[in-house]
Amino acid sequence: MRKGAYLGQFELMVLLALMRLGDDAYGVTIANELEQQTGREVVIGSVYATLERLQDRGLVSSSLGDATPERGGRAKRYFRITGAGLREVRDARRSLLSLWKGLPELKGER
Amino acid sequence: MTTKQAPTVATWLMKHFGCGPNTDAVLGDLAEQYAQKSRMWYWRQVLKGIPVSIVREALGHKAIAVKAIVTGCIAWFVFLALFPSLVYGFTAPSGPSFDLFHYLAHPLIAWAALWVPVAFSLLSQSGALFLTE
Repeated sequence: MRKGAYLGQFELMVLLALMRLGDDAYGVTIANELEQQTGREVVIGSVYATLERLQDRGLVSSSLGDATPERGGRAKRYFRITGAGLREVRDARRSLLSLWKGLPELKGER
Repeated sequence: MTTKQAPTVATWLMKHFGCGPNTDAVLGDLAEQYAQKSRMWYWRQVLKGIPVSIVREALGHKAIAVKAIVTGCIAWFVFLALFPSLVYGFTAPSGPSFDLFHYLAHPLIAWAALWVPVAFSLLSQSGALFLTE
């Protein structure tokens, strides 16, 4: 794992989506979750590129599922957040909350 | 029940130019989602997904990327030296603008258009890039 490397915004969003989805986290569900929460279209390839990077850092693990006909016989790859990933999310949350604290309310909030 | 057939050309492009250990899973996800999405959505996913995967692989395997670029440039210079008429026609242009174009633009064009996607695609399909998988 890279020491001192911060999570990027999209990386953090993907990790949070993994936590929300639990055992059902694969490309489609992760992309849908991100789209629902952000209202923006997500490129599935970008989700995988991010997941591969997070996997290289030991923050997520993956396993292959079954192939299904509606996927053209291709298997799903399921992703799970690891203990190190949870720690990173917790650290990121702490840092962000601390940075937000004391800031005046933003225009348009509420 | 019939399943909606994903655009063949886009699928082919993703299969051959998309790289990384999860290209198959990406194609499966695209096929699954395509049942509820448009043809335009599928093409957008492919056209944005390919460069993303290439950049990710290039950054993840910098030494191989540099070797691919150098090899691409050498191959292009050899090709130009052997078959100049195929590139410039029978009358080769001359002057400073030709030199600049010749020495800078062509290798970059050759690298961007041909070598990197092909090299990564071949290496990823052979598994050579992902020995830890």
